[in-house]
Amino acid sequence: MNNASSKILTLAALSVAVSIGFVGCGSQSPSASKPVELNLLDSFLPNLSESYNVSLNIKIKDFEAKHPEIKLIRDQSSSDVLDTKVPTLGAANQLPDLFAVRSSWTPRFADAKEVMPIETLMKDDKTFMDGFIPGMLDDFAYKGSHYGIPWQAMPISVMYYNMNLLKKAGINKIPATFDEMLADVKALKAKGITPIVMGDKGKWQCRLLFSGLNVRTAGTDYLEKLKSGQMKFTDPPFQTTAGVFDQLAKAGAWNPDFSSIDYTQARSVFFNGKAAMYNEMVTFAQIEDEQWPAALKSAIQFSFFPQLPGEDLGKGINVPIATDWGIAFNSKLSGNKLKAAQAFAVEVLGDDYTKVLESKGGIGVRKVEGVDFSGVPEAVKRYFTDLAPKIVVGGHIDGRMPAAVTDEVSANLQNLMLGQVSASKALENIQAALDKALKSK
Amino acid sequence: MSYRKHLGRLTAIFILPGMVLFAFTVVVPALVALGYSLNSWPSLTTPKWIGLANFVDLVHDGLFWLSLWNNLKLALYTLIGQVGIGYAMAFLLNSRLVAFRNFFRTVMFFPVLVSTVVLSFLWTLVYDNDNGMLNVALRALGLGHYATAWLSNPHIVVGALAVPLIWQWFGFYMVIFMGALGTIPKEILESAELDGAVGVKKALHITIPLTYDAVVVSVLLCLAGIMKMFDTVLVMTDGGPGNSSMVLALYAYRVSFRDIQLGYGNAIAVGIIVVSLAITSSARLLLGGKRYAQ
Repeated sequence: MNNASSKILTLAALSVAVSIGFVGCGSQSPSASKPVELNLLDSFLPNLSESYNVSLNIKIKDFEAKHPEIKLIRDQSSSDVLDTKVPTLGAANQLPDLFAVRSSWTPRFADAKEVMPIETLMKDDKTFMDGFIPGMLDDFAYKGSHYGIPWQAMPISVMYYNMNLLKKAGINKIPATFDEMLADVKALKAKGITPIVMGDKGKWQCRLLFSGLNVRTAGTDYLEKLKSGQMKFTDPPFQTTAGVFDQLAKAGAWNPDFSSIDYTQARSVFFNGKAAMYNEMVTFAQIEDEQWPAALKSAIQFSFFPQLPGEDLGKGINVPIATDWGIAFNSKLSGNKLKAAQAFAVEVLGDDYTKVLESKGGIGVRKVEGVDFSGVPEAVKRYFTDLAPKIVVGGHIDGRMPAAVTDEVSANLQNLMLGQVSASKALENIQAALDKALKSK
Repeated sequence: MSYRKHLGRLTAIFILPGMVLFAFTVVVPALVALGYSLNSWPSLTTPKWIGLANFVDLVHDGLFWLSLWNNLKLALYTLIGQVGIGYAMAFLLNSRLVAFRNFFRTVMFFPVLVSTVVLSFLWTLVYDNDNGMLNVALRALGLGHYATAWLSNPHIVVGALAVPLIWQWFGFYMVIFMGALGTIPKEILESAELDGAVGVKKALHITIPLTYDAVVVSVLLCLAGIMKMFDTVLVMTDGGPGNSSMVLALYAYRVSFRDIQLGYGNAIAVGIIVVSLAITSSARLLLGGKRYAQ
């Protein structure tokens, strides 16, 4: 290379370096007025009509309008996608500032120190921390701290009855005891009516019933006892629960295709008057106005699962409350980003949000007053007046057990319902999965 | 430089980009997976070296072996269905008996072009217990006692999954076999006919031997496809009822991304590679190939 060429090259390199320098300065200069960027990964897709989804989008829009100094950069996916996406981002150490998180991931996120405890995030706002209904943050509890703010509470395992079909089988009231329920199942079968419809393709509906029965046979704190080794799935309370599944299966209670249809199809079967009973969360009552057929509304009654043999319901009824999903905060948040995140927590997930949520029929996790219930579906009002006062809060297995255990629960319950495995063997398998999960942790 | 050396270098230059691509998309990920499989890695924590412990667990993991068994059952059904029906259809369409050959060939190949997820969803509707086409047809034909919840019966669910796989892919193998049949010189076929070899005799002694390599390739492709089976099972049963239709790839996915046990998930993935290589290599050895190529 000759001298002239090398000079030209040097000049070119210098000019590129200077240009880059100017570009860098250009991006620095307006930093004083540049909004704080807050990345949010959520599942609140605009086309979903659930009360929490609508309410959160309203509050997020309000937040964006109120805070021009904060730029919320949203990445939205369905919760099914987040099931894979969030752990993968976590494994790559690329979690966004705020993100939707499943409560069952709490120990891993906390151990990895990638998520900030809510107590640390809101350490200067005691009012906010005191505003939660006791126990509602417990799905996200780990070693004395909480690692997520749930956006709703779901009392699970409510039994819905189509009285028109029950009457066809000569039954005039919903069963009060399990023995009555078994008799009703047999009467319905004799009339060619599917007694109970279940849509367990997604493998969570059978766990709702399992959880709903376990808190009643084993107590509200049974999940913590199982994890600490004080109880085992092979203990008598769980034998009672598995026995209920076994007896119902032997009576032919469920639709034969329960494992290959999902919950929306199960709802359709119930709505179309092809099954007399359906077990779901209180969410099913929340969709009364949008989805319950008009002709069926007056015929649907609901209650908790009937009283089990030997069960004392004098002090109320143990019911698992699932929060399942919440918003977690990246442990790396600091400075203006941290302040923006704190504002987000208070304004998007706080009392005002809870009021909007409950006015739309949802159930919040915070203590609020002055909610306008005029637009709430009648079924939800019935739930609040007839059932809610009797509830003693317990945990749901999905929120507090590793996925490997819940997978094993589903597989064994399905096999039990198909008569492929005995009740005691199913429980042994589930306990083995729990032992393995605790060992690998 | 000699011509041979020059040709060798030129060949290496042309092969190099492909080799690099292959290395970074296949070899490196496989080695990385092998590395991770030697660790305990429950998601967000730092991987912890545990040697072969994951593989010891894998050998004792009943669900891994059940999944492998389901893969093998699917492989048997689809080998008979995809390759068998594919060959029969190619034979038929290659004969003078069938009119509108191009039309039938297009129709039979069409499912190959459609998304597996869409087809799996359609077949889920076909199998629906109450309103599915299959049960409705059985009831209409007075065979209602055969109507069942096809995807919820643990004894038949794997067979039920094989049907859409056969339906979707036999057209692919049919096209391969039609290509192979088209390469048989007319003179050989005419000589055979003059010698009295017609019908089954001609098929057994002329056509099948001369298309044997296409059969070997098809069998290997079919086996490889079934060993990585995932989407159809995920959409139609998600491995259920219970774990009755669990397959290896779905199990690896579940352990890795639902249970978030990335170390063990990678061990299952390595297990799948080993088993797949063993099965396809055994098939290659058993079937031979090139036997009639001269």
